Amino acid sequence: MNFEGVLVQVFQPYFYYSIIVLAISFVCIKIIVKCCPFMGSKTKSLIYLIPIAAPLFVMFSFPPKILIQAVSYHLIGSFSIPIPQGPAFFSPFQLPHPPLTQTMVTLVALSTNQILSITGIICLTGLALGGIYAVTTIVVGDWIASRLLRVINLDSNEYNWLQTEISKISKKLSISTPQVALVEDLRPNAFTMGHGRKTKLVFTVGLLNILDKEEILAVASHELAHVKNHDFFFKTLSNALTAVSFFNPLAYFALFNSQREREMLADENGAKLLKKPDSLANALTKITKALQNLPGEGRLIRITSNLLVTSPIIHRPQILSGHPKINLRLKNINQLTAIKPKGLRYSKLIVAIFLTCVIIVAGVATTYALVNLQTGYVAPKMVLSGAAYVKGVGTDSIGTHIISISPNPTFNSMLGQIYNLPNPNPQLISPSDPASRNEVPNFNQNQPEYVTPQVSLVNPGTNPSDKIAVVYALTNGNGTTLIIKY
Amino acid sequence: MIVMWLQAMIEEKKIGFSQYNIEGKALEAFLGPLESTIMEAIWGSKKTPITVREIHAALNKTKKIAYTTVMSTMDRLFEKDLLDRKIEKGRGGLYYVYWPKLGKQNFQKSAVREVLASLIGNFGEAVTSCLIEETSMGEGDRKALREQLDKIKRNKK
Repeated sequence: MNFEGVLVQVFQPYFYYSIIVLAISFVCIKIIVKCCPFMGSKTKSLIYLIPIAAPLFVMFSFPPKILIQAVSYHLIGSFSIPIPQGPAFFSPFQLPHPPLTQTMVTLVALSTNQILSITGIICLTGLALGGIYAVTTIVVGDWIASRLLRVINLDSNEYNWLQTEISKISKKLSISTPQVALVEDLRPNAFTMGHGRKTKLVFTVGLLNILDKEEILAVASHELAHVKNHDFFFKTLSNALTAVSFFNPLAYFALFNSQREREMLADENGAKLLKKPDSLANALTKITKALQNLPGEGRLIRITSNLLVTSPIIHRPQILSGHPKINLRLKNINQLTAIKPKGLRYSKLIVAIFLTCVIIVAGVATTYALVNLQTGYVAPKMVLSGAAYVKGVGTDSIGTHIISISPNPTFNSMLGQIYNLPNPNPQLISPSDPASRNEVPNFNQNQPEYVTPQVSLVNPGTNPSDKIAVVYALTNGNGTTLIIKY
Repeated sequence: MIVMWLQAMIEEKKIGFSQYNIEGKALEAFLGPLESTIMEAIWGSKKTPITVREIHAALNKTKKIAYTTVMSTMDRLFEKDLLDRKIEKGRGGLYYVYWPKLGKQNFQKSAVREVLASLIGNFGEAVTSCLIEETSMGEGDRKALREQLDKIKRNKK
């Protein structure tokens, strides 16, 4: 595949628009979050979804195509022709130069055909991935996670005190009491899985071994807060949206930022349910210390957490993690007991409305600019990217050069029978009527550098119409490029 | 023969059970009902070492039993020195795998020896009389037997 072919494939509007939109919105939201330290974890987790969701809206505006019109240019040959001296027009991009007495004519064949677009396939794969992922996770995610992690449901008489307390907290939160279950892992952790009545609250054996009752309850409260906050659906939605932009690394950053805020929110809500909010901080500290002394992290827990939307209480800290660092979590829990300044709500509301307006205006403006960029600049370049070679086109005072070429048929495996010019003797013809020019689609007629002469190959003794449909010429200071469309 | 057996009994290391249930059947004479069921399941299993979850699954086929009950019982069997365990890293995380310290036959022999040693230590004369009544032995053997039993008694003290 030639270079233009690759460009045409890569530069599908959706592909680069989605990357730009995601990057701009992610950076904006990062700045906004940094500027508004009083913003709650819930708000933060929701606004981090904007960059992840933005590519989906771009997709509706510029639907990616799997099959696209590709334009190929094939160099056939080149020859010199004499041109008369006289005044010349030049494009704004080219400095004037003395009139030429001789110019180089390059003969280029142009062919268009439908080809598979790599980026189109990638983009639509993302959409399919997101859709399949969301449906699979909601329908069978908990079943797969249960099988993989080998979750063992507890009987009603096992850990009776814990089940009773969990039932009490669930009633307080107005959620259905989840099934309590165990996994055999000695690493301390706990997570929720599934949704609705199929929700399970799973503890590892390691967690039950190292924590006291208060701390186990604190962990349970954190997990029940996840259930109350509908984090199963939140994570499924955000993961599915990220899958749409799976080729964009920034999507994962936005996703993990959003999920970290969700963990903070579960910490806050979980700690509020406890008589002693400190016990959650103690539990987190104990778990972190215990994990430091145990080899490796449960890879399966990490995979199921990220893909099958289980919500573990803790992860070993990593750059790309859906869990915030332990010191940030402890600080956040400790701040719950601190007295918050009054009168913040109004300012918070005003700032939120202002920022929302800014984001909407910026989003509309960006989209408008991108649409103009697409229709006015990128689309013509995509269709006829070869024209980019011509830095500017000048014509002489009498109009466009039309060249008749002496026949000398040769055979080209790619183009079939063509008329090459090993020893050309071209004749210069000028059209008397500019209106008879055969305009080529997608060329901006208002720009004088693009000129489109009539079909002009003359081949005595042969029938060129079978093989050559349209010819147009692009002339610049370095010569004329003749483009033959098959 | 009996003398040699008694000699071996003196030197035998104790295994982990503290009570003898005269009404218990088979292993239940030495261990609790669940302990003996679990020990039987571990000895009967083709897989060694084995996890709590696997034993739980095996037992659940015949009778519903709670996972945590199996877990705590196996933990107790480990503390009693009947099972050994180590931490293994698997697909799902870190977990204990257990295996029996003794084979079934060896365990039974050791347990019987321990009970007999206790009986001799506490009721030496009665045990001697019973053994002499139950077995036919020459004068030399009887003398040696008495000497060994005295030695066991002295060791007990």
